[in-house]
Amino acid sequence: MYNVKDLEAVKKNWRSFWNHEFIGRPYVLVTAPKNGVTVEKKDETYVKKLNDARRGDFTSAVNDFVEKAKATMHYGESLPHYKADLCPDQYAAFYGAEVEGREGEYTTWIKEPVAEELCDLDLKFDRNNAFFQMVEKSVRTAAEIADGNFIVHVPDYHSNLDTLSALLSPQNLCYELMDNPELLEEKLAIINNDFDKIYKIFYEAGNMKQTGTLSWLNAYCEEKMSVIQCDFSCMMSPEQGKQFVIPSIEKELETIDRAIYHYDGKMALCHFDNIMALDRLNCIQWTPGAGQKRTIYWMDLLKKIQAGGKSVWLRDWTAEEILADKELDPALTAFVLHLNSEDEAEDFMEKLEKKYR
Amino acid sequence: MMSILAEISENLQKGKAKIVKELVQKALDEGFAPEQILNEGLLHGMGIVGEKFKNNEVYVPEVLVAARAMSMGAQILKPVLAEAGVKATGKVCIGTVQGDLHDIGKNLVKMMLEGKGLEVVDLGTDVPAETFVQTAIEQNCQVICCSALLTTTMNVMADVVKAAEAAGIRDKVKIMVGGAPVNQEFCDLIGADCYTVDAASAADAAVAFCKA
Ligand code: B12
Repeated sequence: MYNVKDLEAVKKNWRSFWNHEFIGRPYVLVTAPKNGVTVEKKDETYVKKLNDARRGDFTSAVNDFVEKAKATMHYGESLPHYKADLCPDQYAAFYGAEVEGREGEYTTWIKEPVAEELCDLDLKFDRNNAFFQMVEKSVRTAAEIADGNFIVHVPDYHSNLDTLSALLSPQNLCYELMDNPELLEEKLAIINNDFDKIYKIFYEAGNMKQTGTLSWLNAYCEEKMSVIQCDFSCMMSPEQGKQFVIPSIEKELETIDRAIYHYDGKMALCHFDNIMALDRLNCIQWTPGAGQKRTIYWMDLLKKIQAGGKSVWLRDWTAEEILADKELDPALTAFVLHLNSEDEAEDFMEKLEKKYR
Repeated sequence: MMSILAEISENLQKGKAKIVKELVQKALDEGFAPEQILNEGLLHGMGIVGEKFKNNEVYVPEVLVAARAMSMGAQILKPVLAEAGVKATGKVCIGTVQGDLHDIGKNLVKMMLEGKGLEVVDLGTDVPAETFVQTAIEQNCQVICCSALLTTTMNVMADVVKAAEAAGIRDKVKIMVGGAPVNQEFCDLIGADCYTVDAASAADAAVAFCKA
């Protein structure tokens, strides 16, 4: 694996992470540029990946990544990984949403809602769906090129209600939630049932039985892991959350062994107790939302998550803040951090280990 | 027995658009003044929904269906109100700023504004700064409401303030700003007139501006 000193030791730490064990310090995923190597900055946007794939080019983006991966050092629990996804709303595209990648923009768009009403949505997952085939090929090609040197992401799904929200528009989904809750349950069940099928196809295509799994937050697991989310939940009441969101997450958790919940936005906090009650969720990535203070200012919430027996996943702390922290339980904390040089990274690792000795 | 106006308010709060529409028609047929149906039926109900939303007693979907019911009822009243010469209490233009397509929050604010009896010009999403100002001039709006959900687009609000100054209408129009990434500090920084955290408070503030 590119620039990982001791893969077996890293894997061992990840086993401990999922079991909430103390490894002598908090979990850290640190990266830094390799001394003496500079790589030209490449276009890593979804728009490029999607438009490349549409032209039948599944290798350029991976090759660009390989160049960068060779020039990136990994410390702590960090492993090199490649995101083969082609857009944020892939799952909706699997059910026929049309995705547009406008040159010059960072992100892709769902052109327009597929339908206005739920009753007009024909949800049939078909492995021959052109968009699905493209993502599958993207994952498969990346895994071939990887050949054990890096790990290909479990795709980012935006599944369950987020898929329906992308297919109908969030506002229309709100109307359906009120007008046709039974039909909504029915349609949601179709999507939730397909999750297992879809996960397993990518698991095979990405050679993940051999490599283990890794999702967009960079967390690694030797078994099946995924980052789960329901951004649409920020619109809903706790009761609606209980009826629609929680069962969806439970269903997805049946497929995977380990999970991190991407918890997005203040308006979704009303579901906190119900999400914490999901035993099989190991870890929560709290994202305060645009315009809000960084996670370090949400200490009460972070401690509440840990008190409830789940880890916290933090990506916005500085090295100084991590080294100074006295409040979080290191057995239940993971930090993602990018530093400017090998020296800085080694110095940071040394200080961190010393702190807990 | 519940009065028909109270019934309109109740059903509106539950989002029962069809029933609200029927009841509004029935109230008209029974001889209620359109203004009274509007104030004590529709706007009364929407006011309660707004308060409850502010206090987290109801959530976005409930507000959306209530607002849909209100607009169905209002459609029936509109021609009758116009005939009776009833004027809105003020005029506001609203939109999501350029580069930003998030419109659920903006729509909620719009619905609450209408729920307070204001006339609203909806400019939709992705609205350039100049369009807000041009509309305010052409349509005589007392208030401009800008919504943004992205940290990358909220700066367009500063352009709206500047455009209003450049057009010489800054002292005639109040500029309100909102959306998740916006806060009071940002509002002060760009020299806008008002920020509120939620849609119901936004409508109260706009009414106060229009009355002043
Ligand atoms: C729904 C949603 C979408 C939908 C929008 C559909 C629609 N028709 O609106 C879709 C899927 C299209 C979308 C797209 C994108 N989104 Co989006 N989206 C959201 C989400 C989940 C909810 C937003 C929402 O509607 N909230 C509910 C409403 C009711 O709240 P609100 O708008 O804040 O409004 C309230 C108040 O703020 C106030 N208010 C609102 N406007 C005004 C105006 C005035 C004058 C006043 C006084 C008050 C006021 O009143 C309202 C009611 O009380 C948020 C995440 C989250 N948890 O919030 C991300 C979020 C806003 N999106 C985000 C991003 C990044 C995007 C995309 C770039 C993603 C992508 N890869 O495509 C695109 C950008 C599109 C664009 N150019 O605008 C980020 C923004 C991050 C940032 N730093 O800026 C967020 C925070 C998600 C995240 N954590 O990354 N998104």
